[in-house]
Amino acid sequence: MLDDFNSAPSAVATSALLACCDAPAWAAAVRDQRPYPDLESVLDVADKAARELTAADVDRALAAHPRIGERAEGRGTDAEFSREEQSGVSTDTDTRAALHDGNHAYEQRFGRVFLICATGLSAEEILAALRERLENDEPTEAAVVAEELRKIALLRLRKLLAR
Amino acid sequence: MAEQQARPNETAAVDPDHPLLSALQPLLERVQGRFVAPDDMGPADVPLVWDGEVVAGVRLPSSPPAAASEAVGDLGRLLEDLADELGVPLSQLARAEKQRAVRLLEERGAFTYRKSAETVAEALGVSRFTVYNYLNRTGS
Repeated sequence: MLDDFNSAPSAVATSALLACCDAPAWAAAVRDQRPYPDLESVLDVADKAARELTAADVDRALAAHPRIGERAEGRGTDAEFSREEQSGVSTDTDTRAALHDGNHAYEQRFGRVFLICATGLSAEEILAALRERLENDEPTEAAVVAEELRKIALLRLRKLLAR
Repeated sequence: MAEQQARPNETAAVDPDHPLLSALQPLLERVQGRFVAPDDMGPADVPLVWDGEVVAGVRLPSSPPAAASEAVGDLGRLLEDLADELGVPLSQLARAEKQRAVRLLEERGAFTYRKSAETVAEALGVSRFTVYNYLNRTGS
């Protein structure tokens, strides 16, 4: 079932991987260790590579994510992933307002977009996590962001390659 | 104007020339909403009433449950039609035929639907990556 991924042209594999995590170093690491015998071995390599992302990698990858509560537009693979991940986030007016305020407070505090692995989370859970993370100092929060990015990348990669 | 031929799968379609609907069309495009026929309306859709009659519903992009199931329904029809044409369940096609199936589906606009890659991959019994891979080979 991984045959297509193993044998795909480098550019096709790269662009699919970048839709999972927009960090070229990560995508290259996962791509260059093809062929893989099974899904678990891809995820294993992806996991290790994601733990080695630099702060600059994380910043770049963050820019590819829409704000929580804002719908990703367009037909791209990453937009499709984003919509799925955020599908549990309710979009009623109060929730939107609370998320909007929360995002704003976070951006003021840390100078970047609030990122969370939203799969399976309700709006309330996301808001609770946001408020908790606002209390973090910068190094702690930077580590949380890298961790969320890694979780998102692995979930996306699994969805991409699983049959 | 002659009545459109009744199609069993489609209930009374939306009349795009209705004054209310044509007035709202640009707004809908801006907010990425769309009209749905009164019979197809879900609980999240906004009814448009004209002279005491619901002429259509508006489905906004921020109502995922209704929108998603509708999209999957239309996409499901495209997939069923293709399987009928080819005379085999899509999952049983040989590799080269699956590649051709993806090309045909793309020509028919299948990949403009939400969750399209996921749905097509499932129907063909391949991974999403395989679908992307085929799409990339169709020269787009």
